[in-house]
Amino acid sequence: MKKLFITSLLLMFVGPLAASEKDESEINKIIAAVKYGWENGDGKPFRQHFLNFPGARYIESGGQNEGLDDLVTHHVEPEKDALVFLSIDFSNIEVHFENDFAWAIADTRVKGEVRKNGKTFDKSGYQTFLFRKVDDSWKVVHSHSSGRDYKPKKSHH
Amino acid sequence: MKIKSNVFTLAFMALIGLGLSSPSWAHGDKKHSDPSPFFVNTDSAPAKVVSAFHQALESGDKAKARSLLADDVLIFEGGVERSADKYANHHMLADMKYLAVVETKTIEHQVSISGEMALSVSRSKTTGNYKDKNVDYEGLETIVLNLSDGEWKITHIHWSR
Repeated sequence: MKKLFITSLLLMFVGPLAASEKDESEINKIIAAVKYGWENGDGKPFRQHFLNFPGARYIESGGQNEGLDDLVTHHVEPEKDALVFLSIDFSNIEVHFENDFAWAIADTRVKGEVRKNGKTFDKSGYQTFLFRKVDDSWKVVHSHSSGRDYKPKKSHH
Repeated sequence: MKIKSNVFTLAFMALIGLGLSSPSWAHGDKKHSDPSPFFVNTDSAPAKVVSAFHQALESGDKAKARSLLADDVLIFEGGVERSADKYANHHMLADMKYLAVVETKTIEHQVSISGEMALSVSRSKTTGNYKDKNVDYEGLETIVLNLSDGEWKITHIHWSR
């Protein structure tokens, strides 16, 4: 009886915790896949992890792509040819859950070089991802990134 | 800082259809009486909170604007504000001052609701003159809301332009 009671307690408290860790791990993997997709001009991670639906919007510093195809074919994949390199770092990732909905935020650092003129850029900013759980998998339903030229924080001595 | 300006400039637009809920595509904004994918669920409760927040900022109603934010709201507007009180005591005042002298028009506003969470995405056009500088740009806004004790509160805002 005592074992049954303890087992019940574990199921009540540890079960949801384990599920939450699993969810957070899955979302972190999706963010890593998105980073790979951007850096390599590869649309596959977006087609795999983004929910394709009419009306989808993906915002980047004041501009937006409408729909998954628009994002992949007009933004992600062209970067491969337009840029010599692109690196995106997501740090300080926080994920918030509410049943089958989640939102994640992160600090970003984006560096790259434009092929046609050799100009480089280095921007720091923020990223918001919105997720919805569909058929037991998390899918990105909206994203918003913003950034400005990176300026190192002044050290105080 | 300009981003700040955007912020509201943005006004709302919102997009989504996210599929978070089945968008009715019915449009609740009287200024936009025709069904349009650019205005979705704008007569929903969370959409009204977003609109009320914008109106409070534009009219300088500090108490109203603060009341619509969750205490632990996280706001990206160039920098980061991690609580309603910090925002209310700092950037919100500058945002109100800015919004009082420019004109912001909502171009898109789409809201999706999933249980106790809602997502509002909007795009706005801001024009005017501020500190002897012409202003003319489009802003984008993402807002996440949570239903708590029967009230929708804003838990996250991301502004950019």
